[in-house]
Amino acid sequence: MFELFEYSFIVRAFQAGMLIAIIAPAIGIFLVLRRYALIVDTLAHVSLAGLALGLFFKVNPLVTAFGVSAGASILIERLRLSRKVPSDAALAVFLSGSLAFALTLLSISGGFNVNLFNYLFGSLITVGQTDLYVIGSIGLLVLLAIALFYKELVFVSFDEEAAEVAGIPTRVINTLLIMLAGLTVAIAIPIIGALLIGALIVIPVLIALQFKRSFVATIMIAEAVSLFSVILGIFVSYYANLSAGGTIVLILVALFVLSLLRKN
Amino acid sequence: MLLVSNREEILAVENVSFSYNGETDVLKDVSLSVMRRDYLGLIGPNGGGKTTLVKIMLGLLRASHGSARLFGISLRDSRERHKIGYVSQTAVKFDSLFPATVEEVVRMGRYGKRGLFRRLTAEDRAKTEEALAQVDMLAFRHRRVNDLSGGQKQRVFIARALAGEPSVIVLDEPTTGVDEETQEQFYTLLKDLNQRLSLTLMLVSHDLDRIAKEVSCIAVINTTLRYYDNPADAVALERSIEAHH
Repeated sequence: MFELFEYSFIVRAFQAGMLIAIIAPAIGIFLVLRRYALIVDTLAHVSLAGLALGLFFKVNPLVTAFGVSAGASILIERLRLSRKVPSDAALAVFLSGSLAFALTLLSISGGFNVNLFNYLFGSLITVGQTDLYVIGSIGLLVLLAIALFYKELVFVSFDEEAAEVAGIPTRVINTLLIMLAGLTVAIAIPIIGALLIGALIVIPVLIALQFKRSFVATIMIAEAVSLFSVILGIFVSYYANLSAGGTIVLILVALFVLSLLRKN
Repeated sequence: MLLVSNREEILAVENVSFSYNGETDVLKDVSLSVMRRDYLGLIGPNGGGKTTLVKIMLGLLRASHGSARLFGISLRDSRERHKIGYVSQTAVKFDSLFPATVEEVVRMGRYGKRGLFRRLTAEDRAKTEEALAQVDMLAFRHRRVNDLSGGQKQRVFIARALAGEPSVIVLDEPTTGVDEETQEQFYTLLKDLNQRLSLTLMLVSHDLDRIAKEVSCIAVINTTLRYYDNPADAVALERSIEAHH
């Protein structure tokens, strides 16, 4: 059953997948509780524009994806704070705008091929050794930032005004949260795919919330659900020859439905 | 009008005016001092600038003119902002999805004091327990906040403010949407904290008649501010002003 580990690309997919499975709910809990869940989809499309840039200029697309994603997340937060446009509309502009940018750039470079399909829907074979290093270092950076700013992230998510009165730099924390979300999305795209990453960030948290436990316990449950789904998803997709991202997300959706039924 | 007293000034605004977009004044030349051990009621109609004044005193908004002070130092330059305890309306508008135990919420009261990059210590845990004991909620520490009654939730939020060892606690309309009996218990708790712990309180409300029975002094805000040393005077005078209009 475990002969799949003889292939180095599968080993890399597992390593990258598990790292992403750990980061996604850790950042997802703050996004879901702050009602920022939709920002993930916007950041995914922004990352796609970054990937297109990388393919166009023939540099590692992951590197350009996380650069563009981090930059755009700062712009999104500034536009949201400026109140010149409603915040959901600001997200819509970034989402469509960056998709348009990605499509145009790819059509110029003749890139409508397997590459694009893989980045949209995720694939086990897209994770190269360099990608693994990039995913690993950015992933650890995200986890370290969450650990360092954990108490501020919790307070700002719970009661932003009281946090500000207490002297917490709420604007910095908000921008940091969106930047971390951008980085998570960028590194998750090769495996899960730009169109599906939102599910991995949001659904494990939604499942964990159904258990009605403490904040810490909720994160732990979300982590367990996420890891289980990613590992099972990669196994199933390998043996049944299915899309990895699609399989992982379907497992998550099934678990979510079960968690709702359990509650009722 | 400034209160002349030998007691220490904790929180103050002086000659504060505020307008959104430079148009109609929401606040006009407002001065107010909250002195140690005061139990001040800040009363005003909706749209009278009450929330704006509170936000300026908390440092959430900057006045167009005038200044806000904490312990005599400009609020903007103050390094002691964590000494302002704040009970926001989150207690009554609590996000029913947020997964948090009583202890987790009260611990947040220590976050501002501890500062960035520092983990909570044994002292923080002790202060959290002490704050819970002060509002008689220690037995509920492992319960989820969402499983508590409205009155119990309010106690948790007071405990969160207390945990930060504040010099003053500002409560923004804390009894909105809470039943009469719970309100009574809440006011009893506040009076007890003010008297037993000598805690300075600023209670924001729109209900002058009810608050006058509780507080030691009253400020009525409706763009401009009138200050009363004696709550009974506030009720009588505000009634006659209202009748006059």
